[in-house]
Order: sequence, then C-alpha cells, then structure tokens
Amino acid sequence: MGGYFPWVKRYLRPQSLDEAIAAMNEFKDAAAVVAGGTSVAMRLPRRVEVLVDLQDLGLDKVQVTDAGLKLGAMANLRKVEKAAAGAWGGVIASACSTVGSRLVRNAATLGGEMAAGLPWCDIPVLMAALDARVSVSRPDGEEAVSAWQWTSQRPSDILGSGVITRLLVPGHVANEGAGFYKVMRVQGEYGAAVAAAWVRLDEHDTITACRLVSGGVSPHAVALNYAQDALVGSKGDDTTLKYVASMIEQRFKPASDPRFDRAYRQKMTGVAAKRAVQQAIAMAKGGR
Amino acid sequence: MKITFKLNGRDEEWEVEPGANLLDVLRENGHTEVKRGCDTGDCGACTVLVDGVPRSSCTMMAGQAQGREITTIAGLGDALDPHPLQQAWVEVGAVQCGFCTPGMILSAKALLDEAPMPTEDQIKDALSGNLCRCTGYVKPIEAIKLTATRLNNDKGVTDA
Repeated sequence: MGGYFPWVKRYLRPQSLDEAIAAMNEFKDAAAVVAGGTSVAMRLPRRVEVLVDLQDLGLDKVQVTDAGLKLGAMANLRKVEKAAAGAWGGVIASACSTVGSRLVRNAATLGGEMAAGLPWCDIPVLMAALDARVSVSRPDGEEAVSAWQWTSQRPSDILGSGVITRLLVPGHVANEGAGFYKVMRVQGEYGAAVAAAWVRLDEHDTITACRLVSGGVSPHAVALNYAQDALVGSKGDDTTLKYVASMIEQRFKPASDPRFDRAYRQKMTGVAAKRAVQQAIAMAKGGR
Repeated sequence: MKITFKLNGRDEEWEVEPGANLLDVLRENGHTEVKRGCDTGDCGACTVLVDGVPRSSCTMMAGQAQGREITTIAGLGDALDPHPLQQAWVEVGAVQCGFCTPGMILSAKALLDEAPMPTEDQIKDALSGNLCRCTGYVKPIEAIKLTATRLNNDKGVTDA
C-alpha cells in the first residue's frame, strides 16, 4: 500500500550524475532511487533510509533517428509512447501503451521499469528481444549492459549501486521485425502472459536469427531459447508456430497467482509468443 | 525537509517528512479535495496535475513536488466560478457520489489542453486511470464533449 515511510531519514535531490552515483555508492542497500515514484511510493523495504531523486539530472530526453533510439531513463512511458510511435513499426509505443493506465504512464519511467524487478514490468521483455543496450553509471565509469542480461538475472543483481541513465535501441533494419503481445483481461492491467520477439529473415523469408522472451510471471524476463532454436531455419509458418506454442506450453513453468493459474499462464504464454513472432515476421517482410 | 512548489497558483514552502507521499501532505495541509481511494495508484481519486500532467498523488513522494506546479480540483474553479468542465459535469449529471469527480475533471482538463477536440477513444484513454463505481463513464464522456464544443466555439468567436 502507498503511504508514509517513517524509516526514511533523508531525501536527496542530486544536481549531477556524479552526485547521484556517489550517494548510491555511499548508502548502497540503504538507498533507493526515486524515478517516477510509482513503485517506491507504493512499497519501500525497511532497509531503505535514503531516497535519491533523479529528476534534476536531465535524463528524460528521447531521441528517435533511423540509426536507433536514445531513450533517457527518466523519460516516462507516455513520453516514449508518443515519441516512438513510428519506430520499429510502433512496437515500442504499443508495449508502453499496455503498461497501466494513462495516470501510471504519465509517471512511470523507462529506467524504473528496467530497475524495479517486478513481474508486471513489461518493458524489459521487449528491450531484451530488441537487444537494447542499457547505460549504467557506476563510480568507476559508464557501462553498456545488454538488455538480454535481464533474461537471466534480477535487475538489482545487474545494477548493484549503479544508476541507469539511458537505453539505446538499435535502428530497424529492412529484413528485421519485432513483435510484442500481452494477454490481459482489460487494457493496462498486469499481464497473464507477455511475449516479445525479434526475427531476421533471409531473402527467402527463412528465419536466420530470432530472440523470443517471455514476461509477466517472474521478477525478470525469461528467454525462450528452445523456442528460438525451433524457429531458426523455418519460415515461421502456422505448423511451426503451433509446434513452438505447444513446446512452450509444456516446458515453460510460470507461477500461479490469485488471478491466473499456472496452466492458463502456460497456455497463454504459448499464444503470446506465437502472436509476437507473427507480428515480427510481418514487420520483417513489410520492411523490405 | 522543506519543499517549495506552486499549489493552485500560489507559492508554497512546506516542511514534510522525507518518507511522506504527496497525497498525505496535501490532505494534512487541508487539501481534502484530493481524495484518498485505493492508495495503490489504481483508482485515480487522488489525481493532481503536476506541471499540467495528471498523475496519482498516492504514488508520488512529497519530495517529487519540489519546484513543480501542482493543481488540485480547487485550483480549477469553485461553486461561484466553476471551470467549464465543472459546469458541464453538473449540467449533464456526471456526478453521483462525486468521489471520482475531482480526478476525472483534472484528467479531462489535461486532455483538453493537449487535444481541444478529442475523439471518444482519446477521452476513454485519458480517463483510463479514473475509476467510477456508481455513475459510470457515459455522462463524464458527454460532459467532456460538451466542454470541448463550448470552448472551441468560444475560441472561434474570439478568433473571428
């Protein structure tokens, strides 16, 4: 529940990135970043005594070019949704539009989605599929981390005391495509299943490379490597996609929660993956 | 800690706890027009405008208000001098219990600032974070359309 956290002793508003990194490094586990605030203001562990608010650092710039997207970590999802409407066939904007209500998207930031490590953070799923680079500033310098790491580690383990400054999404290439599909009962709610796909096709429309990621069920995204392997070398036809969906249904082991049981989530993850791949193939073919 | 910000057009300097959220400090300082609903950022009852952009104040730390311009429903108008949206809300009967009304009108205000003649889909998206459990959404949508028409007609007259 949102509310008052009497154990917080200090609220810092660093005026430079160096100041922010120094604060995070000094207080380590006792510090938490305030980005949009939608997660922090809801629930804050008792170990957190210092809040580090990043809003004065100018990290909210969004730049969209043919070469790629530079997305400031403090850009809220609504801003990204509007700025990236034409990028990657609209898939980034579409993914942002499925996160919460307009009120949530006006506040929740891209960096916050990447760092929170909550099952309902959908953006890392797409960023992993797009192989985005996440710029993380640490006391010893800036590091570009592959978003693919989000498929095997909790964000807190990747970031440590580092601060995400921006995401770099590669530009769309003609024979590549991406897709994102979220199974939800009403627009904006937490997903029962989420999947994002990226494919590269050759001149015969055969898939030569593929990334397929699932989300919505655990603190980090999950790479569906076995499904990727099954797709590479195929044309992603109905028979292959049905096979891939059934394979996911059998092998993927999501958790149950009060809204959706495991069996439903298994089935829906297969469906979401199939539809994300279909979108990606259509984009790759249309991009030629 | 101290925060300085603008509230409904007035400069304010408040002493707040570093772990307090904006909803709590607004209500503790008498701004009970900002309603407490779910406390989880889901219902929109506590909506305020932050530099003209609607967001839930229950999921915003008080410290985040530093240097910002915060508008509550009281900053739009009152019974003697209502904002056109407030007037339309009354005229079309978009209020029943009224608990969601401040948040809905603030979301509608931000929408009309961005899109003076919004489509019904744009209105529905703008209100997607404001839940109403009694009147529903038909009348608020009607009130927003009515306000948009009136404001645009007024603007047309002025422009001419």
